[in-house]
Amino acid sequence: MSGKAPPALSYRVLGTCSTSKARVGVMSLPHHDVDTPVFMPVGTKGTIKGLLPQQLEALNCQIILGNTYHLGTKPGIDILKKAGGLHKFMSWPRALLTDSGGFQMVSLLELAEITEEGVKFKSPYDGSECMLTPEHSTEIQNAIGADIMMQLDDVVHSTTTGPRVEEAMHRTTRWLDRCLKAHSRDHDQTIFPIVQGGLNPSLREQSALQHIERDTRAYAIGGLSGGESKDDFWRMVHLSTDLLPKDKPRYCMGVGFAEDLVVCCALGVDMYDCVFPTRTARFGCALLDEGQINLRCVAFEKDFRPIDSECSCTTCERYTRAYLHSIVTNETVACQLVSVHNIAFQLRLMQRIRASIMEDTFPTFVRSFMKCRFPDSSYPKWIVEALSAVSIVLE
Amino acid sequence: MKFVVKHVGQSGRLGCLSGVDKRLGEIFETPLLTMYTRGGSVPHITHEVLQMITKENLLLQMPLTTLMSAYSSIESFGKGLSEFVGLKEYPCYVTPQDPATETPTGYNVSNKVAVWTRNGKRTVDPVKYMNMIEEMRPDMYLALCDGDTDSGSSKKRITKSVQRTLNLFRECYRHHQESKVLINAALLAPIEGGYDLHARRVFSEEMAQYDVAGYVLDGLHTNGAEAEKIKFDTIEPVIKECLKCLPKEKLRVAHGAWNPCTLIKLVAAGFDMFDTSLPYLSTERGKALVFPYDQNMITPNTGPNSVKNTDHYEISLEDSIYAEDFKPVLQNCACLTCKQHTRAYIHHLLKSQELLGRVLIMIHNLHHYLEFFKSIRRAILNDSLDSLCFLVQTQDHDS
Ligand SMILES: [Zn+2]
Ligand SMILES: [Zn+2]
Repeated sequence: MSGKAPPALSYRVLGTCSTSKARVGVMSLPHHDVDTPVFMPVGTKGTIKGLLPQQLEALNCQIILGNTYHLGTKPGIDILKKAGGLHKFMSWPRALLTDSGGFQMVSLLELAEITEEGVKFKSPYDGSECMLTPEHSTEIQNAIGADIMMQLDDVVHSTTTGPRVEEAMHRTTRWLDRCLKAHSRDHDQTIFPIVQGGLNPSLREQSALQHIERDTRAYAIGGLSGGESKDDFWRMVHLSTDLLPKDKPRYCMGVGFAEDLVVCCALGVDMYDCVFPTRTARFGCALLDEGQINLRCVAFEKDFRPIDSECSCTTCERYTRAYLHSIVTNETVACQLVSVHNIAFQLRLMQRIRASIMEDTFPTFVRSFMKCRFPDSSYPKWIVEALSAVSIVLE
Repeated sequence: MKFVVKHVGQSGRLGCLSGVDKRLGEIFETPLLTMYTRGGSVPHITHEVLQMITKENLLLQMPLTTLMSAYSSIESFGKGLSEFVGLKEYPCYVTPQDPATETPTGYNVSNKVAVWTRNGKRTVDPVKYMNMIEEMRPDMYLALCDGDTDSGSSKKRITKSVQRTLNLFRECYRHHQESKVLINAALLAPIEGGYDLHARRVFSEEMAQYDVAGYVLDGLHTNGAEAEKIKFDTIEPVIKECLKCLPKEKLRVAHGAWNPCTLIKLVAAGFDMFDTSLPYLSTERGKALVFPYDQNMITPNTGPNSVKNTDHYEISLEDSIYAEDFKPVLQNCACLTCKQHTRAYIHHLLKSQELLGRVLIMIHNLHHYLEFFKSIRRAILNDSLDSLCFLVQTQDHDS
């Protein structure tokens, strides 16, 4: 074989919805091809809720997330380097994405302080002063070796207003440049810039345009899913996808509730992640089109149906709600079984979305999904408005 | 269910258990390792993962203590325990107590046995017990018993344990004889008597008169990790006394987390069936079994003074010496964990309190024990149990 190696990320649109902005594509990464729209389960510390890599592969999971902040503290970068990167360390052959570590730091460490240089924080271990700079975040993510890395961005709470939002937006662009400059593995890792600008349309636009100028291989929409109103949320997503180039993947960070996924797909987003489906499994919450059920409820004591009779996951194939009820929160097996189902649910939802887009029946799918989720047609206003912005009308 | 002795070696014996209700024609070779379960599942192991550990059929050992909280579900389900827990292909074997969890002592009264569930103490009399057994439809079960004795028990306690168990057993036995549901279920009789040889003899002689599928040597310990410390020498007289009085063609069972060396000696003495309490307890404390059961195995140094120290059959993966150790848990081990993962990764998972850590150790520990039992069966055939026992106690020095 000769010639140039393929780029670290290439994206191809396979089909588009003729009504909304929804599209199906395939994102080729060094470790795996990813069918988009995709939901990426979160494996914070290099593992997902007791599941073996084989089980994730059997679920047809093509990409998972790792958290740089957590991995940087445990096992630490030295060990990850010695192991030859996170893929080898956790024995995961498919694609990986790591965040920058900045968000976790700001949200987990009370004393984090943001300066032009980076995020200043006190080490939770010895109290010493540390600094996470864009260069440092990039270096750590280069050592972890995920297919996709995120730029360090200046995170402000999504409901913050005033000059701080503008400062953060501009600083995010300056930090992007520093990340791109420090990036040492552009041949096999791709940095995603993060569109910021809070809930201010003009700042969002400026941020998107500044990032587009850098001509990176993909883009993320950040600073949302942090407690802002759903009304603001969808408008910011809608505005961002209008600006971002159509031939590159768009990643909306921290989105994972089923109705949010369906709406964001309609708005033209391709990638999502959220801890919710796996975190909630630990407490016995199982996901369904109709919503979620809590298997701890006495109501399931004599319910001998599977969690979801439509689901073909290894849990629904074999285990009943009543049995899960009898071991939930007592035996770790229950957590694994519900996690398998919840991941299967998320991935199957994305699969159904992709299939309907390819058949150009996506609006019909959206309507029947929303009907199932809100049986008395009591659709939340933001969903009705967001969908009608892309010409999908809910009856 | 039927048990047949196939081969009696210089020490130990080979046999098979067949005629299991659920899987006609299925045969389990003895000495057999039954799979310890909690709440009906192998701890940390879902059916999907169990299939990756072994495709062999397994006899699931199900302690009532871990199931009783779910009894009303099991009862209204009505298709038996194996199917209720999602493992219908696997036959199950119910015991009143949990061999891997220490049983609080001193709570049994006259004809009621204390069963410690996750919601606290429940008391079970023979009628209630047999009703539950009928609903659970196990392929094999142990009669209700008061095995609340160990090496420190007083004569008075032993006498109570013996008298109560005789009464409990007679009631269970009568119920079993009359039951239509339990026609194919194998009833095992408990053998009590603590460390009192006379009591053991009297009890065994009594039990020998009943038509049961086999005997469970009970009352040597009160379950949990204490059983690991038991040296064979201390129980040898009791065992000899019991076996002398019991019919040779019946199944002999010894539950508990015996250390591998004591277990081999129990096999040599003629026991046929055990459980996976030790692999489970080992996993719970973050340790992986690494003792050799084959001449060609290279096993790691398990720590200072590991030579011939029977306590050191495992390595503690939480130990920081494994933080940067990218070797498998055990070299040349064919289990899924060892083929794919490193000590460093498991160390990280344990240190981060991630569930996968114990899943990976349990996979290895179960594989290790299943292979250990294959080796035991080969050794019986080759009359080499003695050298297997010697090997298990030996530690090579290779990390
Ligand atoms: Zn399912
Ligand atoms: Zn192994």
